[in-house]
Amino acid sequence: MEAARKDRDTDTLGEEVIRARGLRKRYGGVVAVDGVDLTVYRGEVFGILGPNGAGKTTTLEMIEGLRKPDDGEIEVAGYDAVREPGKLKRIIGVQLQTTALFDYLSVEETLALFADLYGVDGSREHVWHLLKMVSLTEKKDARVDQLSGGQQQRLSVALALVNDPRVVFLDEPTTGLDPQARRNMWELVREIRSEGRTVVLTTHYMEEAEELCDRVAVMDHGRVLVCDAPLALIRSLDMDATVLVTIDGPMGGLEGLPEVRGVEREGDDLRLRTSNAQDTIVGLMRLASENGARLRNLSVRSANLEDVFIAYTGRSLRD
Amino acid sequence: MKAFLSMVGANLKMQVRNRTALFWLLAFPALFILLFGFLFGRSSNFTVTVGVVNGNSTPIAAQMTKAMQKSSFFKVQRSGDRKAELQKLEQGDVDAVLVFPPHASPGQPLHVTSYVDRSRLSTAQAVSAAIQQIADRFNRGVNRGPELVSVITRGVQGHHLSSIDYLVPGFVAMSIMQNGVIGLAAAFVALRERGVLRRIRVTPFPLMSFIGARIVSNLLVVLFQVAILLGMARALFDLRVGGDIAQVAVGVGVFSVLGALAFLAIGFFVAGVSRKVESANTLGNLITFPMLFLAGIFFPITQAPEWLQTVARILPLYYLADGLRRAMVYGTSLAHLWTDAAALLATALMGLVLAVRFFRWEPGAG
Repeated sequence: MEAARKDRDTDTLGEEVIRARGLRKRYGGVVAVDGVDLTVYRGEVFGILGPNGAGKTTTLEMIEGLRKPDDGEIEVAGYDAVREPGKLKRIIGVQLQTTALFDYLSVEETLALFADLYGVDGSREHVWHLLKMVSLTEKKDARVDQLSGGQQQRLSVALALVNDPRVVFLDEPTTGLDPQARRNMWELVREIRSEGRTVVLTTHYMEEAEELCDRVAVMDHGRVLVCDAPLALIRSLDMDATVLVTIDGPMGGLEGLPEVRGVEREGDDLRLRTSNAQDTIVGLMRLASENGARLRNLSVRSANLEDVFIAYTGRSLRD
Repeated sequence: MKAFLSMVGANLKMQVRNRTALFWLLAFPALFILLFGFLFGRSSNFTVTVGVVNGNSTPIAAQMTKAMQKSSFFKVQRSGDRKAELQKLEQGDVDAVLVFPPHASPGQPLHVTSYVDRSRLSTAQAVSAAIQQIADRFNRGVNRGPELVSVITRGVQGHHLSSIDYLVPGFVAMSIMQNGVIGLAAAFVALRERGVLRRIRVTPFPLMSFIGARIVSNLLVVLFQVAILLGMARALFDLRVGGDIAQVAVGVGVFSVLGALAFLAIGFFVAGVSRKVESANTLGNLITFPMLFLAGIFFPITQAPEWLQTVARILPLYYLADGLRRAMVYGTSLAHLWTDAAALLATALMGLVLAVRFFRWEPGAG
């Protein structure tokens, strides 16, 4: 524990809630998780960001005690996730990637049933409190199969809160949701954190990780590439922004522009990654007038987690 | 315990709200019973045949017999031979026998004995009520004087079987089989593949309890279903009840549970080897469909060729139908039904071994 803290800023980070070391899992010949170390601190929203197939869900499910790792150690709130999954289940809340619920039960009945399955208070007041939290009070008598995708997802989060858990795991909570439903879900996650719970979520949306997470572990091919606060990750890049522009007419020498770190070209569309947007744009303007080319659709996008991912893997998150 | 009961309750709620499942559970077997009931059933509730013995022995006896002849409900067959009439009753040729005493005893009411077949509850009740009504007319007629007629009803155990008596227990067995194998397998595969089982797994509720709750709710549903179907057949087609009603209820209950367990075990096996709901349905039908025709549901197996009889005797449905039929229609006590019971238990155990061997909690990969 001391060793882990030493290389962190101990003033801002609190008590360790999750501590996973050397997690490995293979399915047949495929290595899904290949030596993952993670530390999650109390009260933070911790994101695991990565493309599909990066090993996010497998990592999460090993921490939840749902899958046994081939190798490694996991401690969650003082419990050994491998040897004490039964005790662990009582203090964590889990939302699985696929929203799977009983079709013929109403929202209220589903919550009351799960309260009983957890052996916790299933009274109408408690259920009502949960429904209010996830804004489903109006839908309490609706059958689960009549809910929209976003509503089902929120019910699924309410189920993860039924046992008043210390740590809440959300596996891709916003996948498949429209932008409004996604924002609602973000609000909900912030509210869960404000109640003092620790939240661990997976996502393949970098804007979600940036917006929502206090710290992010970027995963690819079963490994954690880097783990820190989103802003710290972005600042650590030798990069300021991406300049996007369409060029009409011939133009060469783009690589020679000041501060440019990378050039991507698709027909006339150009993406310049730069460590100083101002210098690059001034240079670009000059180069264009010298060549007699016209610049259209000029825009500048600040560096984000996508760039972090590209910097570490050499490819885009969406590939 | 609360969690378990809660789960059973939720299962029952889901069962009742699932229209498709309800159709297979109740409407489908009920349609079979109605169809065959109207084809082969005796519409005994409209007229009943009564054998009357000593119908002319006293003036009151003659008047009563005449009153019955006038009523459109009775068809009267006069006879002097009590023994012959009772035999007809046992064979189902008459529905009741009314025996007047050979001569009146002065100062005493006329003691009339009405014999009914107690295995035909509806008919027995209807006949007794109608005869009592006619007797009451005499008793009330003479401004509340002394009682003129007293009727004693005696039950006789008939041994006549109609087609419907044979068919109905078979249809009930068929429905227990289909709901046990196909109903369970399809539902369970759906729960597993959609990830509901995984969701249960992250709660502290043991998955074994989840399965236990499923089995308990299934058994409750089966008992309810059997009661409704048999009750309907008895009300509409006077299905034979072969003995004391409590004993019959216990026998039918025991066989319903044994049969359900045997076929649920097969259902869990089917669920284990099926990746999709469709394949569970297909495999379930593949297992159950041949049994419908080979296990003697539609006709007595003794009329079938030798080889078919041999085949029938290795099919669990044969033993369930036979056990239910004997318990219900013949009123055979459980002590004499141990072969049927043992065959079903053996099926349940074999099914259990297979189910455990092929069981999966996790959705099938790929």
